[in-house]
Amino acid sequence: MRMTSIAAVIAWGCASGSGGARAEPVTATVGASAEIISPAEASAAAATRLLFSQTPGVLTIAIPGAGSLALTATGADSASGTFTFAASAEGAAALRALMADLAAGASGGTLSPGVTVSGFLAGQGVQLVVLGASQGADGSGSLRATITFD
Amino acid sequence: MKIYTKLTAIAAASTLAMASQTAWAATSADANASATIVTPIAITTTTNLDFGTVSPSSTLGTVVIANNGTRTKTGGAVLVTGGSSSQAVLSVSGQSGLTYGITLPTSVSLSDGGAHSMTVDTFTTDLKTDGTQSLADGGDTMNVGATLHVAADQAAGSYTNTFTVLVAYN
Repeated sequence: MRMTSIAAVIAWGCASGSGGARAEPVTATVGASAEIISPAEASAAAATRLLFSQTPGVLTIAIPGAGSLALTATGADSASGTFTFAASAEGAAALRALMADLAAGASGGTLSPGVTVSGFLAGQGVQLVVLGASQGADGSGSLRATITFD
Repeated sequence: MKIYTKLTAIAAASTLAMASQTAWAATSADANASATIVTPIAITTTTNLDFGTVSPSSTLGTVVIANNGTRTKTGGAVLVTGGSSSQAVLSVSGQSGLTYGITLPTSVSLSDGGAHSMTVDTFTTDLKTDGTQSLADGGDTMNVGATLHVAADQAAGSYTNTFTVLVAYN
């Protein structure tokens, strides 16, 4: 009788050891993606077109034959390094020309909201994202864009 | 001689009786048996890992998606804003209170479908990966980040692939 009892205990121990909560691993498949865009390479001459003002928050763009354009920051995000600039109506055309240069024709220089161009000028990474723009028949207009330097 | 035969017969009968008594002395014992069935562990993908739009440069760089979805970069990679990017989000369900292990991939190669590729490695998660993660009531949400390596002058294109996240009860 004692032997029977011991055998029962052993059997119980084996059942517990081989069972429990252990189960086969399960998996999930996760997608991963990234979009690489071509940086628009500005011409060598364009290296002289982007100058930085000594005044923080002010970007001065000089376009040969078209004078200069001063953009004043209207907002800045110190964490991301993104500055928002506002251009005057007369500066929109000049900036549009610069963007066309950066995009190498990819955007056609169109200042439509959402248009994003990026490139390098004088070794400086530049990205412009048009947030809002309006343009009259005479070429004048206004622009609101985010310009990121990297 | 007659007496001897009689004694032998008695002895034999006694032996048979004892043997029979021994057999009848065997008894049985009851043993309990039980089993606990737990809810199988399961994992599903809610959101894929998206590094967003990146512009390369002449210098190699990396794009890091943190567990909370924050996107940062090192080196020559230029983060193009205005698009979307996200950490991977997965849901783990099963028996509340049980601990489980998580296995993330070491690396995975994203491909543009052609000859170009980029490596993704340094996968991270906000859950414990040492096997001590206890399954919460209602399940766990697992956020997974990683690092994308962008080569100098990386070819433009849409790079994709999949990777596997494994979970198992301890």
